[in-house]
Amino acid sequence: MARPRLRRAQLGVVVVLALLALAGTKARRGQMLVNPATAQPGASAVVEETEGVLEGASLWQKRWWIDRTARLLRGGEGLGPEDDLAALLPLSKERIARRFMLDERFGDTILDFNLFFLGFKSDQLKSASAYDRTVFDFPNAVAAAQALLKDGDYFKLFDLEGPFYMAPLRSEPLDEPPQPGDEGLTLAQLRSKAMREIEAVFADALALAQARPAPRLADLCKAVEALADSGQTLTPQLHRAFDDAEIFALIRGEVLTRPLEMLAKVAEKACDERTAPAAARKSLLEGLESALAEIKRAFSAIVEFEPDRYQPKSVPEFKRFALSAFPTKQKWLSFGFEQGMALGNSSTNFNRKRAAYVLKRFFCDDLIPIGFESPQEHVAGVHGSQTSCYACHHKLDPMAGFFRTYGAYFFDYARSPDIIFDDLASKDRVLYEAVWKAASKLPAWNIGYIRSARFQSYNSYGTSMGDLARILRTAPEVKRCLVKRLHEYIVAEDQTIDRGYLDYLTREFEAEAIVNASRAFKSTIVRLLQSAAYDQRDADPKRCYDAAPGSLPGEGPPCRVAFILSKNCAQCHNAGADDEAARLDVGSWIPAPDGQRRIFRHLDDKLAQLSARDSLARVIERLSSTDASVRMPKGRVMAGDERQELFLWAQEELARILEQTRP
Amino acid sequence: MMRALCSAAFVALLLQPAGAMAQSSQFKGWAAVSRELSIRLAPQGHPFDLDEFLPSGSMDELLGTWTTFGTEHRFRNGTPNALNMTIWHAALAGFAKAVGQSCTSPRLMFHERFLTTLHTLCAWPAPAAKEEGVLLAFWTSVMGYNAGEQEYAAWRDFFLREYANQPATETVAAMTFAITMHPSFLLNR
Amino acid sequence: MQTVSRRDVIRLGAFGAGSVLLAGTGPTVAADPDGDPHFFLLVVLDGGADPSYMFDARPLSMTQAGKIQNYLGEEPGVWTGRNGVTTLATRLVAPLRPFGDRFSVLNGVYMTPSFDGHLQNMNFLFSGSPFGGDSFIPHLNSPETGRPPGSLDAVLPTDPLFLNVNNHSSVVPLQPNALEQLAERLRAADPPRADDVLGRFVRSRMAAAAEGQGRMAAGAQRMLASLDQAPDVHLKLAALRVPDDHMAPEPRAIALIAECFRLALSRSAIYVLHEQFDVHDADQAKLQPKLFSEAVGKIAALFRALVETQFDAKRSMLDVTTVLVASEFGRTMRAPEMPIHATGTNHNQFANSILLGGKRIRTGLVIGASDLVDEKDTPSKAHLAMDPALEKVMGRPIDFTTLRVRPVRPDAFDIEDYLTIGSVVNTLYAAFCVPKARYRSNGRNLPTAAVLDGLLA
Repeated sequence: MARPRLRRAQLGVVVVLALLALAGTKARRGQMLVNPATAQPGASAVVEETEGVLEGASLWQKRWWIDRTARLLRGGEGLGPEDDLAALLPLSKERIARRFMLDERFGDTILDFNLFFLGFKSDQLKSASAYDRTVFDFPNAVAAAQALLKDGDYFKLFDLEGPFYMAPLRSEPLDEPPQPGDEGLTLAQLRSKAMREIEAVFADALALAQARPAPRLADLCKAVEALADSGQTLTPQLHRAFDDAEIFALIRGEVLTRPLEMLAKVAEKACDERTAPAAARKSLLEGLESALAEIKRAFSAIVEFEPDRYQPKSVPEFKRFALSAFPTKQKWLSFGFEQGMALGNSSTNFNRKRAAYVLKRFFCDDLIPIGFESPQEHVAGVHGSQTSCYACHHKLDPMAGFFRTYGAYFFDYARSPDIIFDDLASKDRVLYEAVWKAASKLPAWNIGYIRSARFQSYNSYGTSMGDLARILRTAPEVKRCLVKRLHEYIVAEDQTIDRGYLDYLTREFEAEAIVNASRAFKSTIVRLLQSAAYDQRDADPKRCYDAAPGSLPGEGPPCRVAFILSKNCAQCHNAGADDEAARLDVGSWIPAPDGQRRIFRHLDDKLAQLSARDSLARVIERLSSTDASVRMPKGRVMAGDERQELFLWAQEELARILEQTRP
Repeated sequence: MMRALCSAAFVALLLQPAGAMAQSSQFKGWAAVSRELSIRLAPQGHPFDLDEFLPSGSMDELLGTWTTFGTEHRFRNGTPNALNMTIWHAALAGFAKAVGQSCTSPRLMFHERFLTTLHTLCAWPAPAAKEEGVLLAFWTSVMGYNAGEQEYAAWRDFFLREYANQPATETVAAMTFAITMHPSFLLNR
Repeated sequence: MQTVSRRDVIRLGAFGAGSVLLAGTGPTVAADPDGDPHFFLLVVLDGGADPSYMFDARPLSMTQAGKIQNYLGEEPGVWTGRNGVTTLATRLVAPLRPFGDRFSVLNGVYMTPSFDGHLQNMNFLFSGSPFGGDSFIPHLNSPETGRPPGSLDAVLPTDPLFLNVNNHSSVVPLQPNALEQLAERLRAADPPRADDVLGRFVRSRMAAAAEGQGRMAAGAQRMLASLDQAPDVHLKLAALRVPDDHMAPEPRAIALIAECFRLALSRSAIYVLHEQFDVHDADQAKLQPKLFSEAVGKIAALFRALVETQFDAKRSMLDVTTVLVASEFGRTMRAPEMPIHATGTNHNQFANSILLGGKRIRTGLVIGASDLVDEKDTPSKAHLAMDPALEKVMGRPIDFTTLRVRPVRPDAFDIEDYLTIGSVVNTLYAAFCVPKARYRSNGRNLPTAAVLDGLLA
């Protein structure tokens, strides 16, 4: 059933309807109760707030606010019978919020938000008081949540290399039926059995090397080479006891591959006939000892996460895995198993999917609306060098370069001659990476976050994950995106936000974060909880309820219009644009030449400011033209309802100007 | 110029996108609703397992969910449609019935404070059960403050009027059902 | 070289295999026995299936010349349409021969010319935009077609697809295990009632909430509208008969879909084949003969089940259902850097192959073709402009009146010359009487894509 199109009604009618609705509500409130049993004063009583935050708000409304805030800040758990609502009622919103932030469950809220920010939120973090195992898959989310609870470095959220939080090992039976000989074993027993079997294989080889009398060198070489070559057998033997997420960790940790690789190198050198026999034996013996030690160390660390030993009940109890116990020397990426699946890189994708993810989640730069249908503008080659593609690809491809050594499941092939992709195809790694080599000498690689196609000084370059993390930590766009996402999480994902208000929130956050990122984040939460948008029971998603403190009406186009402009137009039409698009800055709102009204900074081809009438007429023409060379936004798909809203606003403004200037 | 404006208005109609619909609130999802009811009604540390009231396993995914695996997560299946309304109706009717049945043979474990309210309400249609304090306590126990005051008033007045002489089990079940089927209870803000 | 365990790669989608259990013991009375029932079944080959293993094959000489991989190693046969048009088809399509008069073959179909990603092209198949939008599936169920809508737009008896479409809120998964218990529970439960005092009160509060201006009000309005349909859905779901779990997956799926159609529970159904079609890797590509043998077998089983499952006393399921079988794109002939005998293939959005049949479709035809038919064939300038490396076959220009390929070799590419997915969807729209306002165009500022009138019965 179609919703009545109230939005097409005249503004005055909408206001009248709203007033009537409000009057009706107040009339109904006249019947309200008094309930001594629950110690509630009359529901329509006004609360006197010592800090003036809730003047005029009814008790009912405040209880709603408190319950909603409790649910938000306590990991989804609102007010219950143990909560003393009466004690909370006299407090200001800020004090209530900060009290809830001291609750142990606040860690769950922050973890949940972090997952939301990363694009991997779930319905619940826990089932029956145990954390869902997928939560452990996002170490930067966990680390940042832990840091925030201690007022530490919340920006660990942006660290793409770091700790590994292994989940409690699985206790439910695996999907595959048990292999012969494994029947009747619990999963923990099976794990133990599998690990012992692997250790035994290495131990047997070591025993041979240590035997007296010593075996013939040729026999020893044969045994070690056979062991080094037994990966195809040992791997499934070990993996049969683990589930996919655990196997992912075993592979990334190179639990088997690295010792076997090491043994292969040792054998190759030691078993060369030019090597003296005594030296060869020593080398082989040491190699076997080292391999066995590596295996044992890894298994000992894994066993610490057996579910009967480890079941965290809160975010602070999440335990880091001792990464030094894994044979790998590579840094542990924060992209875990699920992200490995979700952000696969095929042999033809050139990491663009991963780049688009980073731009979207960390920079709020959603390249999706860019679309074009003209086949002449087909992307040729690995970079979108055609003009129409350039709008996206000049950002996308350099960002993709940070992932150039990461293949399937984010496995790092930097040490390998080939790179294997998620579609199982492989390529020569050096040739593949050459795609990101820059034409000029500086920077050597065309990898980074690109703000300007023309001025390199505006861009942030790098080559490694560490560089990308540094960029994320320092880029103002990322902090703004973080605040925006927090607004989405707390208020609503589709709620229009006044750009000036978002700027204000971001400015405050940035200023406070210089001192302490966690406290700054908490303060931003408080500001949002105090916002008018949060206070709405039935918010209109297209309305801006909040403005920056001190802002005056008329200082910009209507909030919704500004929102649409910033979403669809401001990427090109801004003061910092490199090209002709800079002649229109939709982020500005300056006095028009006639001095009577305000309009965008909009220059003609002689760089003179257009009149309000001419500027709006051009906007209208560009929005409604069917000529592809004229129609705006160029090369982008704009949502039809947003185009219409913008068009109608411009048309109404123009009509008003014409009416006022009519002789 | 007016002609140009009329033309522009006509063009505006042409700009009318097919299928443009108002942005709509979606269901909170089964997990969130279960959690809310557990916090409000169940003893601490003993959340309800309300899955028994779902007409079928895995139906919870059809009621609004973030949870998926192997792709970026979006909230799915939360927009009200005929199927998920059918499932909500069946599940919440079952839950409401269990609450009503608790007047005579408890099926669910409640915390003390709610039990006190429930016991009083289970005297319905006795006058003590109809007192303002009892009704408000029951309403806020289940709904919290999700809905506006006027909704409580409408609910109270309805049951005082239409269920004035009905048996307690049926009345409590109906009361619970009316609250849990309310948009303010089921929809996310 | 590092290796990656196949186990975690092969656990694809992580949704688990979905198959359907429903055995009809005979048709129930159709919801609209005297009307003109018309339903839609979309069979999706998810991942980019290579048409050269089905209905757009190439001669072995082309493989010997190093142009195209062919792991079947056999000369294809000729598949002749009733319209006298032929195409080369491999022996792997043999299971479909008994149903050759129940569908038409469309070759050389263009998907989105500008993107070759899975998601972009799957979005394009459903919505006409690479980045998503409104899917065509709900349009087939709209009252504007002049037909009473089904309670749901579509059911999905298999694992779902990844899509960015806006309007699939009534495209719902119906998994087999859930169905068994669901029907039983709903039979034991009371359906929602609007005529009792409690039902009226519940509705009144939804109506009150729907009076506002914001998203809650919009949500309440949807709740109210959906609750009005819920009694009907409740009764229909309660009437769904539990499948016989001895049936093979495809007939079980069709039986379930038949129930949904008979009960007017759904207008459409989407059945997804999640085989490993995306064969960039040479080892995977070599498995294609087996892969397509199984996949075509499934498609044939679906057709057989459609023919053998009664919709009502007079009509089979295929009599009342339009069927579309498609992948999101085809594949390149080979990968450039791999040897011809050990090569994978990449994505090709310029020559998809589609089967279209069932109700309102003229079947048994062959329409469209792709170029580079053999090793001697040379590309047009238009082809070279789009695919300078000659990795892909591309659709050839078509005469939309005669539905014949035009013997021209254009110098420049103009999408309006070619058979596109836009035309296929518009043809579906025409078959279902969807208003022309919904029709797709081949590009912004272009007219609507031509309906394939010669394909409509």
